[in-house]
Amino acid sequence: MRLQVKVTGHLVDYFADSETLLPDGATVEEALSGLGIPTDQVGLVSVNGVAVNKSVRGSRLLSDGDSLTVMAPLTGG
Amino acid sequence: MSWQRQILRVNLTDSTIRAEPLNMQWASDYIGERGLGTKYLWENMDPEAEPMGPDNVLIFATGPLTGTSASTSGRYAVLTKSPLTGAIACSNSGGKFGAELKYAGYDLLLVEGRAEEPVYLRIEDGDVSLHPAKKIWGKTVWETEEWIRQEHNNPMLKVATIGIAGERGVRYAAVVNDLHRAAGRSGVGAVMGSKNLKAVAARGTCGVSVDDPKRFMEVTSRMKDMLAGDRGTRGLTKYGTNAMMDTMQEFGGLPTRNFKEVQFEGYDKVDARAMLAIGADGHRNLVTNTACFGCTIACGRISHIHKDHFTIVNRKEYWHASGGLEYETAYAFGPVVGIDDIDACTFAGYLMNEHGIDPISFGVTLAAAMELFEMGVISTEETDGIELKFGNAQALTVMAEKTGKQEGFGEVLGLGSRRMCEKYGYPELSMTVKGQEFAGYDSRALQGMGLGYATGNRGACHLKHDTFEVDMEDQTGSGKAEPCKASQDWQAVVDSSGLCMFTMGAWGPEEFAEQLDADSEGDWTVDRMTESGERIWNLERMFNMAAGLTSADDTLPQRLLKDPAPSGTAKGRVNELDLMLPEYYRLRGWTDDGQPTTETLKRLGLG
Amino acid sequence: MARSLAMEPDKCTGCLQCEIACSFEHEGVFNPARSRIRVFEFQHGRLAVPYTCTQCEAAWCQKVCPTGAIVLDDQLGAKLVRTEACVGCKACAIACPYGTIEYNPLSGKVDKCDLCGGDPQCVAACPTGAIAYMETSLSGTTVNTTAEA
Repeated sequence: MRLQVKVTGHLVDYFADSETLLPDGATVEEALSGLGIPTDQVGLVSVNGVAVNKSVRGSRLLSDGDSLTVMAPLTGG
Repeated sequence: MSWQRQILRVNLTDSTIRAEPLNMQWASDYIGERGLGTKYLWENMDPEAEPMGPDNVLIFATGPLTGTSASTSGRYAVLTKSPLTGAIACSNSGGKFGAELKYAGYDLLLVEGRAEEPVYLRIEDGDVSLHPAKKIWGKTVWETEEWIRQEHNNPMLKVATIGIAGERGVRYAAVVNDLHRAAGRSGVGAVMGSKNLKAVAARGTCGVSVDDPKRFMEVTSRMKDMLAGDRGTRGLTKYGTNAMMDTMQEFGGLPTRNFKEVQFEGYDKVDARAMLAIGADGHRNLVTNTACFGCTIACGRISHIHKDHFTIVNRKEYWHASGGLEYETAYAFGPVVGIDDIDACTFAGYLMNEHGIDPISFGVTLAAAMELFEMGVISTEETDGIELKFGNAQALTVMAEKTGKQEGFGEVLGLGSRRMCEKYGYPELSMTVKGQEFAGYDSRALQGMGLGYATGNRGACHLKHDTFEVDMEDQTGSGKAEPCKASQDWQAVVDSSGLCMFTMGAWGPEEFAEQLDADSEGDWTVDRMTESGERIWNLERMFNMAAGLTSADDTLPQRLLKDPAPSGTAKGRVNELDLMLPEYYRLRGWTDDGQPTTETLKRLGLG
Repeated sequence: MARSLAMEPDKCTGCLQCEIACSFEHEGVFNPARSRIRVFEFQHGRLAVPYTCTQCEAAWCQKVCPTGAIVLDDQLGAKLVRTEACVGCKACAIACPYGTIEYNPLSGKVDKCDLCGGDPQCVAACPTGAIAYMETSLSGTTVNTTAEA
């Protein structure tokens, strides 16, 4: 399946494209490892604009055409 | 013990300069810098004093670790009573000035009274004197630094100074050191100006020593390796603080057009990647990154403006590089005023440093003025013909200069958002708490941040608490009081150590405790430091209460409590302050109307 | 084979960790004013250049010293000050065109880079590799003159 991807902050150093191909039925967690983004560097993930909490990343399934946003953790500044 | 055990007391009314022993008991109870400065303020002035009057006290305070080999050991703080908020002001800065003050032999500089004529203070180790500042009164920050170094034939003098804005009492005037590092917030520059003190110049050759050098070097180099190995911190080195902008855009917490919206369509024109992008003609906004004293992160930005840009095409004096956009300056000149012209934002940033102005307060005040203009409340007659419309980059740079030089409509903008909106009869359009303008995080998207804004002792500010992680994970207001309170206490510790808060991505409490303990003979533990942090927070609260503030000031503008976020992950939400505040007071050990109880004060030794 | 310091100013952020480390190594305290290496900043911080003695061949300091206090340690590849012989006349400080040998009013002698006996602490402290310690034939200041105008 094809996903739209938007990555923010310094995470662009891990994945800079705007889309990716993943096996059907992949979870958010599998998508993150597919993109090569270390989970300790992820602040929040959202799918189609809706936040996906850490606790459900392993179970939340993605479907073709979803837009996945991976946000860097926020720190001060 | 890296304390010099000596403070400098300067009375401008009778021009006396005295070195005094540092109160070691206070240093033990309040750690240093923010905490120690707050204690000296509490003990040396009446909190009801007029902020712009001679009885206000202005303090420059270093931390125990300032000037040592620890990474980010360049921090110092300027403390006083704020003319913007009427509450305590505590503005932190980096650059090289703080370490130099410590090297000159002083842990803290306390300035009281008011000079008859403009003066500046020169400190060269033990040789300290006040000099007439007639020749530099009315000069910019940049001109003043250069002039003082030449006047005393000492290129090593580090200078903290005000511009015209500080001289003229702009409520959010800043103190700028080392050309583009600022103790920016709460109008500390206006207090300096009200005392007729133009600048403090310091050169120090005494050095700083620690009791157990071998252990201290071992601990600090291990901590530097930790910073170097932390991926998030390496991101800060490469992208600077402006890496926050696209995250806030995607999250839906990026205040836009005076907080009417929480996402900005032009964000990617003024974010960190835009600063790194190379144009067709090879021009890149970012020239290099730069570091404050001792800092191995080097998140500082040096940028330059495109030569053909309208702001400088015929102003050669601005063709050189200087301080580039931080997240807060990019937010305050970009999204909150609807502008996506990176060169205009960078030029406005130059003017903020050159004239000594807090960019956050200026940008959010301009945002309110733009909303009033688009409502027809402000007309072009008042604005010297400038169309104060959201998105008008020329309005940004022209008004930045007018505010810096206090000309024309700049005098109205110099009032700050609260007073300006009250003047026009629309107080609800002022995005402030206790009169201080908001930083670049929307409280409808970041609930705990909203609680921190509301209860912050110096008014709306994003640096005195850190609820980002819990706010991102859970967009409701539940369970936010505890992390807000806990991070407020720990932030007070970091702000008192002499080190920079941008290390907190890599260093936890243990790392700070190890470095502080290795530096001084007292045995510092996380628990003892946390208790000191709580003591500092409560003393600041006591100062504010004595200055006349009440729990009614622990609030947010209606826009954040009533108008739901129109988009983003927190779409439809408002800030749930009413849910969070009572629990926060309870956790603080305060009464329902926000007064520290006698038990709490006794527990902290403040009773 | 003698080694010496090579500077890469483009990597320097102006953090002064080298000055802190050098002063600690030689004086036991953190005191950049007594450091033998100095970082010079230009144009509001656009360019920061670490600079110290290049252990040059000409060795003017050695030539003008009236008491022979400056000696070449050819194994280390550094000119060293024999403090017992130094009378603090400052002739070397005047002669050195780079200004990298300096009179120290506290000791009454002169200080200069001594490569820390072969383990330069400025190199160890530099977070960006702006100061390298390499074979002399390869070194020398590599100032990138093409820095964007």
